[in-house]
Amino acid sequence: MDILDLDIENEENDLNNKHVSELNVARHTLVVKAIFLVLIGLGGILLAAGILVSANRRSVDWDMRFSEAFELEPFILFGGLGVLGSIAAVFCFRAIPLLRKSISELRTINEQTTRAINQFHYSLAALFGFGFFYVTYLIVKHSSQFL
Amino acid sequence: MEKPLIERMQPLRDSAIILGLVLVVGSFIGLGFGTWQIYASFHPKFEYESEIHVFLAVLFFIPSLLLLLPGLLILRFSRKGNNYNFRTLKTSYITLTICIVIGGALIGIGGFIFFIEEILRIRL
Repeated sequence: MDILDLDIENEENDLNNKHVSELNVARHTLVVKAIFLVLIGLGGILLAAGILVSANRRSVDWDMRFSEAFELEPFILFGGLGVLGSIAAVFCFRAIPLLRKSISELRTINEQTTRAINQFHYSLAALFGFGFFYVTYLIVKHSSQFL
Repeated sequence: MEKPLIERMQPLRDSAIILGLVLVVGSFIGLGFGTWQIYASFHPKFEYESEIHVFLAVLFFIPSLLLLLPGLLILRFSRKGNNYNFRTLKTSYITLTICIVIGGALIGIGGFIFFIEEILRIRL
């Protein structure tokens, strides 16, 4: 009876071949996502830095006395996207080796892996949420120019 | 003793609800703005600018529809049930990756070009 219980428990906990192949595809897409999230992070930070530089085009003045040309809204948008993209990329890079180990060596998903993917999901939700809702705020604020 | 897989997967489903809701709500907002631009293009006040509004509508519609699909799939993955539904997770990850690749390429290349242009313009 004990052996039977153990078998059922193993069946409940182990991933079958179909699950493994599906999770392998998810893992490969995580790698691509991580690379392009790094690009979003770098690009966003460079865009924000470019806006800072363009505000003081004659010379780089780091004492934060910006000219009137400084635009705060795109600076917050791209800077925020850059920072949140970098954070999401870090969580994605953390989740990849854990998921690889889980599906190929352990043949099950342990709590450490689910925690890492959780953090990645939350950081991705923060990135998309910030992007969507800040753009929505900007559109509503400047709606008189559209209509 | 370790918990069964279905219990260990539960936090993953909870975070998937948040991500899926953000994607779906954001997509619906984008579709709303797109519809608003279509309405504006018919407005007699903008008789000579209607093409710009149609262009803006398309600009809103395409990313919204692209993100709506992974959002719905992730929400489907987060549903409670006895099966783990990794196939839905896989499909949602593939579609979400396509969106991130497009966004990453646009922001990454745009950011590099804009920053280098601004740096080259400085007269020290």
